[in-house]
Amino acid sequence: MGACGACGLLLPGLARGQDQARGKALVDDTGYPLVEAKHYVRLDGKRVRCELCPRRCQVADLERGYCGVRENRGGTYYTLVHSRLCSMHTDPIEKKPFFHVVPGSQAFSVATVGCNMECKFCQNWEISQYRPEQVPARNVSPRACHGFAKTEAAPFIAFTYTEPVVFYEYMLDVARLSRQTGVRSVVVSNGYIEEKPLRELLPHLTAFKVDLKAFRNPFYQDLCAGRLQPVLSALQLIKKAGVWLEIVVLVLPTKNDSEAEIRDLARFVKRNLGPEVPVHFTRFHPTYRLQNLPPTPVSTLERCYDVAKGEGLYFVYMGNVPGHPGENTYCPRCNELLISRTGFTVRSNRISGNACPKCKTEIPGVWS
Amino acid sequence: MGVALRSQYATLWRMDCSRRQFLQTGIALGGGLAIGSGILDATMARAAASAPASRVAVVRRKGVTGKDGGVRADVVKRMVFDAVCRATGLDSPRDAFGSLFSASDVVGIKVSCLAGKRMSTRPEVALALAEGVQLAGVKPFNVIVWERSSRELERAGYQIQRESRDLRIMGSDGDYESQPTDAGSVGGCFTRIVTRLCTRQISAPVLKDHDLSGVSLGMKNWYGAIHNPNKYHDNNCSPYVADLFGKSVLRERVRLVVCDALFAQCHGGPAYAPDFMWRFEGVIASLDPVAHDAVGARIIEDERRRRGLPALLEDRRPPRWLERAAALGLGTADRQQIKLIEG
Ligand code: SF4
Repeated sequence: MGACGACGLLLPGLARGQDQARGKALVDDTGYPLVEAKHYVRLDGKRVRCELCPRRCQVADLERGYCGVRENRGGTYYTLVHSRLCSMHTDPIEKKPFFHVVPGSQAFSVATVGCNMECKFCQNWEISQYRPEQVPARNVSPRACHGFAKTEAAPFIAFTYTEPVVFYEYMLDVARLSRQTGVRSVVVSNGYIEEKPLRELLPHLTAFKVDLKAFRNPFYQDLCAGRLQPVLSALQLIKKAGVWLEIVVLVLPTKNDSEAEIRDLARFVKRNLGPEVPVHFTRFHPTYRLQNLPPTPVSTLERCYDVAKGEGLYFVYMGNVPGHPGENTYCPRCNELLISRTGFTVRSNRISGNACPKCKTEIPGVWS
Repeated sequence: MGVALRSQYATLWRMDCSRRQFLQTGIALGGGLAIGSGILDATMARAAASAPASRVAVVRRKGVTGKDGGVRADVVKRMVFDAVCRATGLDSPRDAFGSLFSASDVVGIKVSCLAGKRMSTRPEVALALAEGVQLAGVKPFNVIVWERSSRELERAGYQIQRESRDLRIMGSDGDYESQPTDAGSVGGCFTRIVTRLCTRQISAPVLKDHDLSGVSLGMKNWYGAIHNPNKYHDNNCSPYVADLFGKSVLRERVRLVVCDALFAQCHGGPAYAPDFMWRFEGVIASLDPVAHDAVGARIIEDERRRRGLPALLEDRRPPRWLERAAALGLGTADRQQIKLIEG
């Protein structure tokens, strides 16, 4: 099964839902905590409307929303994945990827099943496109999650692999503990979230990586079952909140790789988010329901890189091409090599304090 | 379906209607369908027997349900057999089931158990079907009553018998193919009960309303066969219900739809909503899944109208997927071409 790698980390005998931050400590008949969802409204006839993400699912009694992890039981909406982790692994933070967040540090990375989109090219579809009862999982309370991160000497907990928006309540409960434990929280997400829950979450986060799937709405509709505009709104809100933001664009040959689209994307980033926001163009490999495309040619990524740079973005990267110079960080002013990387490994980091050692230009990011 | 057959059905339907008007019996259904006590004459029965599809049998027995919510198993069994005979146009249950299944088959009976005991496929209906299938020579352990999870089956009153040498009753419980089957708008991993275990399938839904798809009947029942049904509820589940059923893995295996309409529900589905439940005291059977669902939808619409509830279209959840299913050639949704046989 997909990304779940480090179950050896798990400790026996974790108490079930012992530190749920809200609601009664109900236990589902499957043995996992049953926590009332946040951000929904009750409608007539025991229906509810979820207001967590832009899908705004209207859900009848006994049914689930699109993400498959939130269920209406008699007019009360529940998350079925609070503390129900299907994946736990300690990764280099570069793998998320965050290139401007304490390079070389570790992120204790967790996920539950579920996603509020269905990208036909999802690399983790074996967990993101399943329902909780279909995938083995462990019961890990928010406090235990921090405990694991400490044991692993990981300064960050990353919500990643699937779509953290759909396990919002757990993510929020874990992130709220960050101040107490000193283990900071970072999110890797599609950015498909409504404004209110996002505002509630942001104060507890250190960094946010958004997968910007494309810069054209038909791509979102046809290949992801989503919409572009809410993601753009979320990007601006994250940036405005002062949470460190990086953007990843998975480049699919012929689907989202036209020069015009990349140019529009880069212009949007520069104008609305700022030229200092890193943008990673990463390489696609055929998977899931999109098997009829070739892997992205490296030359395509290089073209994306050049276009974005040409539009004035300071930090443009290439991903899934280990050893390519496009993985490195250069000073936007004097072009000095600052951080050298191969894949997820940091070879050297010459940033001094938070500045270029040569021209002293401040390099934005979370460096300590 | 060829033109010749289509016109034959149309002719039959006209004949049936004339007779029905003459008899002036039955419960009027909106839009021209009627369920009454009409009896096919011998000529029509012979003609019907040569036309296997687009016949929908509705068999009703007053008193089959009890006040306590129970049902009379012996009567249910006779109703199921009668409905399948009428749907196939054959006289004996042995011939009827034998025309659909052979001794070498492994037959799945997909029940619908989301809503617990009160609004799920009754075990009495599933067991009657299992008995019927065995009349075709299918071995008891080659009949599998199934749902997506054992938990749902148990809640609906079934006892799990996964390893039984007799009838097997089990949930698919996460046992899916490792890759999605991709066609049309749907891309889901099928349960291996469908792909590996069974050679034939029966859809055994309940007659009920659905908050998004309008109604939840024979084709919607197959949402329980894939790992990600939650992805296919937008736009009143259209085109998804039809596209899913259109996949060869289902289309080629599903031989029969038999709906538990003993109790039915016209609003508030898919969960059990007692205020909108009524005793229809029926079993609906067809070899044409689209015709079956069209008739079921019409019965629900009719009950809604009787109670002053808005039509499904007004309620913004018409079963659009019926048209799509017909367009894909999965059956007929055209009531002029559906031959309704009641008893
Ligand atoms: S979080 Fe899930 S249930 Fe809520 S609106 Fe999004 S997809 Fe629907």
